[in-house]
Amino acid sequence: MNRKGLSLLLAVLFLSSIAAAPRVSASAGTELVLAVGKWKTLNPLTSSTVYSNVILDKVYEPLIRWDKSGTKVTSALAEKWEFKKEGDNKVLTFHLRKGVKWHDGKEVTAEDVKFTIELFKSNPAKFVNPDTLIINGLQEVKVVDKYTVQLVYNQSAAADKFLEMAFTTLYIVPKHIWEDKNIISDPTASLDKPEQLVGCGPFKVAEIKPGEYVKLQAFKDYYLGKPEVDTAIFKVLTDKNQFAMMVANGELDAGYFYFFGKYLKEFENMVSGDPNVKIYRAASKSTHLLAFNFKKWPYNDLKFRKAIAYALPVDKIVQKYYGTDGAKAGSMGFLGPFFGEYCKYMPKEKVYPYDPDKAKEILDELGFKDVNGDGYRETPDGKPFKIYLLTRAPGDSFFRDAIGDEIANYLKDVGIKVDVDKAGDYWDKWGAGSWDMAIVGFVPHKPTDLIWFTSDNPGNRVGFSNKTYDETFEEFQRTGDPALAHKLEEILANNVVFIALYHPIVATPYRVDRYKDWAPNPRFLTLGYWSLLGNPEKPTTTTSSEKSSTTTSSSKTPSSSTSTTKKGEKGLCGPAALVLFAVLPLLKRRR
Amino acid sequence: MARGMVSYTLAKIAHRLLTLIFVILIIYTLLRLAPGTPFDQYLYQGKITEAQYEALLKEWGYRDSFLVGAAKMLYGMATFSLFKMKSPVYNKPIIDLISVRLPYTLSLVTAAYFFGAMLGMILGLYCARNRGTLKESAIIWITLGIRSLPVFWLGMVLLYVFAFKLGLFPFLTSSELHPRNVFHHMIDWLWHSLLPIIALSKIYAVSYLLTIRNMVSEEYTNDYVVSFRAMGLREDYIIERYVLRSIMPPIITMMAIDLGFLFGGAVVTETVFNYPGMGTLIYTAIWNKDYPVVLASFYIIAVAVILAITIAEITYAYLDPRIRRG
Repeated sequence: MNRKGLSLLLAVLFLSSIAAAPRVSASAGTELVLAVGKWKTLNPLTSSTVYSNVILDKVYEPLIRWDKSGTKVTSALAEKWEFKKEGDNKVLTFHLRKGVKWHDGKEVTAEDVKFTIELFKSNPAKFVNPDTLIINGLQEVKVVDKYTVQLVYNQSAAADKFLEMAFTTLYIVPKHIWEDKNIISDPTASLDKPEQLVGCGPFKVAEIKPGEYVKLQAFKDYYLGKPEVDTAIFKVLTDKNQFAMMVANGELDAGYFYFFGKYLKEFENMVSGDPNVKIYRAASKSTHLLAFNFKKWPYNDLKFRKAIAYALPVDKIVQKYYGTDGAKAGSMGFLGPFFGEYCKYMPKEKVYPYDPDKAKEILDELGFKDVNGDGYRETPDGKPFKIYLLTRAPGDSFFRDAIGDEIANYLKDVGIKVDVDKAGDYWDKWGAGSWDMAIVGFVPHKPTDLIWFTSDNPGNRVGFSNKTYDETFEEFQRTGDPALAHKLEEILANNVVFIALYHPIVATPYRVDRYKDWAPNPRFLTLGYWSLLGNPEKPTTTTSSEKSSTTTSSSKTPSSSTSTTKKGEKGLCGPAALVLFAVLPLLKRRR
Repeated sequence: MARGMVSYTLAKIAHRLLTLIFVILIIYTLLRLAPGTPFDQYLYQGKITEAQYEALLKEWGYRDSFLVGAAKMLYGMATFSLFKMKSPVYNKPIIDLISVRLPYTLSLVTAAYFFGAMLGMILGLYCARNRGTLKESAIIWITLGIRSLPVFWLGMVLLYVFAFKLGLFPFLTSSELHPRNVFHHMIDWLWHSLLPIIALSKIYAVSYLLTIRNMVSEEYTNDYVVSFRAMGLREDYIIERYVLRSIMPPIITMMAIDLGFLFGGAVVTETVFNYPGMGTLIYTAIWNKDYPVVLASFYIIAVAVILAITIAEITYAYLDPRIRRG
């Protein structure tokens, strides 16, 4: 009896204390919760994951950035810039915006730009985030006045267009913070304290828990005006299923996670009937290829590669897993339709249509014949022959192993045995070159990523080496002529360096109950710079627009407040169940 | 007698130190045998050149010969300077990485451990006392069923039912952004961690339940229990006073080993619930070939396990002189 009374009292105490401490809700303005994957560091110069860059993109500003369409560059910190020829040298002059402020109130000046570029140049092996084209042939960085910087390049500099693209990857950092050893003792180290992450972007870092979340707060003095969203919390998530459930549940507003194929269908079923969940679909830049290992025979034989190409109905295989609208046929010329004028789009079925008879013919001609009658071909000197196909990268969810099995089946039809390796140590094997053929995904960010197939590029793990290709690339990087890009892509297609599989079309959900003005950027897919800002392109200085923005935010408040009270209820139920758990054994104890 | 105790303890400690060195050497060998380095991805993406890559490998000790590398690590462990070494992946001292994660892991795993072990022991005793009844077989069948559920699956189901369908618990285990006070913070922590605690405690509960039940059942068949019962002693008294005492040493060992492993976290549970603990740190460090972090983490685990076992052994050598004499 006594015990019972005590435990009841305890329970009541617990419950009342919880009720008395309602969760602090985001009553002030719009608060959005977004999901990203795990990142290693938030250092704007050493960051190497797309997840950290998605966050950094809100905190730091480059000199030039991609516009909303994702295909053209536009001004950011640099109001305008121009290229000039001075003898053999190329001079790039940036004219900075005036009155742009760092989050601590100091002004952004040409000194900061010079400091950032020279810091990058001092250790490009550690500062892997910015594009190395920025320092290719860079002779000197001159500060002309407080708002003007000049960069002097020699002839080895990239074409103007490519330099502009390269500068979109360089976040300018504040000299006064980065030179202060008390704040940043080592500029190559992983940064994860708000006082280290001072930028000049639309949001400032308010709070970080590494591995858990980053909380960003709107920066009032942002040069394009205060963002519409007041708080953005980026939470770390590793599981796609959790992401789906959390968006459907309203715990997340959006995130850097994609669905495609059957996953997308399942998700659509899950949220069907919820008008607050919208889905954004876009063609991704990434391309998935079936690569050959040029360092091994017979994969270094063009005829053999062609035979494999003829033996595979790629569009059929891809459709089986992605449906008719889940992926675009890949281009034998590497760059997909995303790259506009640089792309020479050559779907595999156009260049090497499915023709198993032709494949068999070529294999016969090469001497691959079934000597011992087991249904599989042997090598010309009568030894058993087997292709070792590498498929599964860790964390990969692009059906690559299923597609690998399908490829094995079609190759069996022409008499070739394939061993599909689905083990997780993909990257180690890929790097070591211990594979015959591999399904590999590439994400070219810019046309100059065609460099991956030049002879001495470390990214060229397939071992393709072609003198014309190298020379043409050199010229292409210098001139930026799209016709040369087409020529490069033709060389790749003619040599069957890989068999193009597909460009996935990805979809990502977002909720519109707390925020409506999502502005997806095709380059970043959903969490682009423009999202969360509202529309910075509309004039922000006029009072009328400000008024309208305040009315919209006030109209949003009721919905957000109702959702927070709901959350509060959840907050009660959990601990209440917990208290029950604790009390139960006490009550059940022997009298 | 005291002398026997001292020499016994010293011998044990020397033995344990050897074990520790051996464990670390095995882990280091395995790491060295695995291919790859943290900088491979930069190289494959063409972000750095071969020369820069080689320079990085040299700088971070990936080009050290096996012996030099092992000696460096062992020296670091002996002087504890290992924890001040930097991780090549994060470019940050290891102590910074571990000190952030250890509290999370310890709070989660300790809670699961005590909850699971208590539940398992109580149910195990209950089963042993009700041998052959329908209740017992029901509990055993359910236990065996639960035992065969993989933790990641159980975690997903818990999340689906309690977080998604019922909305009782949050998905992410990161705690409240603005805790009001300590009490509020604690409640909030429990609310966020209860699902992973349940998923993880399953492992402990099941193993303790089955072990205790089997041991007590076996002990029950001894003659002394029968004679005590014939003497008219209460069943509770027999268990508390005699049966439990005689089965305690193996249970203590079992608990000690589990206690040591608490420092390693729970990789699967942490991954399913997105828990930023030691388990995920070790897991990603192994993937990234982050030698210093892997070794430092395993060092902590090994030391903890060995310490726990040693303390357990010394404790019952003190309790039971027969063990001391060997």
